[in-house]
Amino acid sequence: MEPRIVIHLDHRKTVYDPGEILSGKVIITPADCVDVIKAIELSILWYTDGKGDQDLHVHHFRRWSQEGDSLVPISSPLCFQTILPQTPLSYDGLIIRVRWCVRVRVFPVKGREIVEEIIFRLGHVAPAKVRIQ
Amino acid sequence: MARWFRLFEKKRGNRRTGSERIAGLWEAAFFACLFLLGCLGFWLALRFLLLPEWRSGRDFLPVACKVLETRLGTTVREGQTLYRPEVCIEYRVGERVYRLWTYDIHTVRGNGYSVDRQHAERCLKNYRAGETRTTWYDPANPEIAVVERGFRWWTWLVLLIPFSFVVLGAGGVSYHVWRWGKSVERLAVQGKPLALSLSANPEATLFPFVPEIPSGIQQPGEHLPYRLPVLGTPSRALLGWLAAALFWNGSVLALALAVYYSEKFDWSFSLFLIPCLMIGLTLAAAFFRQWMVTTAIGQTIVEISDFPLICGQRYRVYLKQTGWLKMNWLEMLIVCEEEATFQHGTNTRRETRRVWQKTLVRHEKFDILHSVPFEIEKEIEIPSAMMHSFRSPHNEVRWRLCVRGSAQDWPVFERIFPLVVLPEPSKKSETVSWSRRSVQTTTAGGGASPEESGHENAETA
Repeated sequence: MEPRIVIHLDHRKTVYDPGEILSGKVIITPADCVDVIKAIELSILWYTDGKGDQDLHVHHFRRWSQEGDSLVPISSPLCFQTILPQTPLSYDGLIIRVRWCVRVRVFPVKGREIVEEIIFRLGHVAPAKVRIQ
Repeated sequence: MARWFRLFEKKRGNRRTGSERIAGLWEAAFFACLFLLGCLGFWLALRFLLLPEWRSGRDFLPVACKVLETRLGTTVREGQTLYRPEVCIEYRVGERVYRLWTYDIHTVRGNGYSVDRQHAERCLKNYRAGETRTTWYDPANPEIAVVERGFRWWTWLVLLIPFSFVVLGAGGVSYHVWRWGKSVERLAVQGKPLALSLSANPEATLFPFVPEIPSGIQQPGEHLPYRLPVLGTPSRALLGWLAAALFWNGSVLALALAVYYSEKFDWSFSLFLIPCLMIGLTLAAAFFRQWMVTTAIGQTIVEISDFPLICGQRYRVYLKQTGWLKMNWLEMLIVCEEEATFQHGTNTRRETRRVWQKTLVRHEKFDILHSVPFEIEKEIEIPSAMMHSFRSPHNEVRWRLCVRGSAQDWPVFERIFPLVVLPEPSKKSETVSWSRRSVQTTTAGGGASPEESGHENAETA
């Protein structure tokens, strides 16, 4: 059975301030699919989107992988916590967008990786409009 | 077919076609081919160039021989005559007497030709018919013998060609093997420069991916505390035109002199020379025009009360324009622009969009004298909730002060002064406000601790 990823952000927040703590947990279901998972990666990152080529920067990264007989610990939720940086803030520009997200990749023993991400906003920058004064 | 199997990737609006995995496979296959080609080239160079030379110097046995005759060997390849020295010798190995035309191991193998006839003749002068010399023969095959041993320098240079193929191919293949099966996030934290940081370590700064403060900003102002540096100073354009004019006219002069002294100067060359001279005159005229513009329009000075700027705060700006001009108009704008860089086929393109612009100053119909420059001081406010300065390898949000003007008999000029704008301090953030002194120190290379930056990367097995 194919694993399913659920990402929970604490306090159900979608907008964070710079310097604030972002925390949450990742639940992989069903819990008995541990045998078919090779590795899990969790990243808190920003990426650009829009006209330009994509830039990406990982702020927080964690990887759980099978090593020998030890299996990936998915019986309990995988918790994460990080202090968000001051910049870059989330931005919806005319040709540039900066997006922050929590992204989880599950690498099964067989088949293609499964990706799930949850977008959040860092800061309170208003969407860009052309304003000539 | 193209729907299921795309060979290359294209950007269509905000989405991309093709598969990165297949593109990676193709790239890896290309580098593997380069590597194999290099190995093959190595083997061929060793087998047919270096190994015979090495064997003739190490394994061949000496024996006395008699020089019977010498001659200049010739052959024609691709319409060009090539030469090599050839010496006819007679020598005895055991009971058998051998006679052959030889020189070095390349001659014996049917090669050894070169375009240098004089070199071949010089080689032959060392041999006289009837004299006794030492020859070296192959003990495995006594019919092969040489009178000259040693390595030719160019055979080692030939190795550079397959060597470069091997290095490129091995580098490309190992890069793709290293990337294989890894996510973009893992590559990014393991040092893969997916997002090349602008500073050495973006996490070490309080404001990652905010461009560094230009070093010129350290210059104190006379009227207000900070004097802004100007981007693309006119002196650079002046030097550019001067270099272009000198290079072009110098090249044309050298060509004309060379043709004149070779006595091949005819009317067809004169016809060719006329457009060249016209281009040279145009370049010289462009240089003098730029020189006049630079000297007549004079210096533009912009000073500011604080730096870097913070969204939602007010600042004083001072503008001073020197020169000797009858101005039609002069204006100073503060602008916020987005610039995106993207690959379009094999070209790299940039697109810029102005998001916000405000005219701070505009004056019309006035004179600027040498003794009385134009001066003005205004207040500006950076709107709150605007995007801060941001720069990543392919995307940029930048703030600038632009001074534009039009003077009688002169073209419109524009001078740009970069600004760095920081985000508004968050009330919930621990760092409610940041002093400018600490910002300058940090962005100039001083480091905040990793705890301050909040960065944490870990790999757990």
